[in-house]
Amino acid sequence: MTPKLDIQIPADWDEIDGVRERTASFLRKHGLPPPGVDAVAMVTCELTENAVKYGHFSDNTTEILVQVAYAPVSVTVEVRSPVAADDVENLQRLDRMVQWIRGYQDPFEAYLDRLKEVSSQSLNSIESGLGLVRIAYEGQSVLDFYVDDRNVLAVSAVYQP
Amino acid sequence: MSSETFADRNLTLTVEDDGHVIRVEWTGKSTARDPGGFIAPILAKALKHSRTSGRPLVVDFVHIAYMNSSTITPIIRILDEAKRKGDKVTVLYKRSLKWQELSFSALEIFQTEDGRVTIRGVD
Repeated sequence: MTPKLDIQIPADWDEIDGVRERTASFLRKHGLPPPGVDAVAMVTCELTENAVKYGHFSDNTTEILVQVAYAPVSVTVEVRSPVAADDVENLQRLDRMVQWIRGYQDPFEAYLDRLKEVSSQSLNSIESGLGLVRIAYEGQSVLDFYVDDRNVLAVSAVYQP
Repeated sequence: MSSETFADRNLTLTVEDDGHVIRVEWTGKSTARDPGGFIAPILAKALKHSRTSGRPLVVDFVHIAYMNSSTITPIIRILDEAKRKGDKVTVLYKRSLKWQELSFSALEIFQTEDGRVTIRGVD
């Protein structure tokens, strides 16, 4: 049986570090070596940050769901959050970024290109767009996503060292 | 010798001037939503002090436990500025930690051929 960790949090930035620490603890307990623990914990944190930033939360009861599944040869992280029915712009941006990363044979090259781009951005620019490409490069993970019929966005990252 | 410490959430930056180098040491975790608001002014001031004093700037990440991707933006902007303006900056990271090796070795694209801007892993 695949060990799984399920975490539910409100859309509160201060909850995110706890998600990272619980993920790291779960992975350590199941024997993932330290470099893998650091990588997947970072992936979980970046995906949860995105969920808090771009999710559509209409009331305090709405939560973000984080699932970490530890299989023998891979670890899958899936983060679910509600999106607005008309939030086409953010979903298109997510789609473009995932496709852009997939266009590189080596995620390291994508990461370097993104670093160069960010270094030339205006100082007022807040969004770096580094999170997803960091997941692919440093997190050694393959990204995917879908939106279900209840407008819940599920973004997954499969870590394959 | 002078030393100033700045803290925000779980991140602490200590800026030291020992008369030879200006050192910015990072400890803790950088997890803020907009960490640049805290980090960028400290790095900019340290770089300016390095420039006017003629002493090199060392940005030391060896003891940082974690940083989110938003933290990388103010770091690469300061490296880019140093590269363009002729400053001397060395970034130190812990080579034995794989996440640090991956994260910081990528910053070698900001290194200069004359060694003014250097990214260096230490044991």
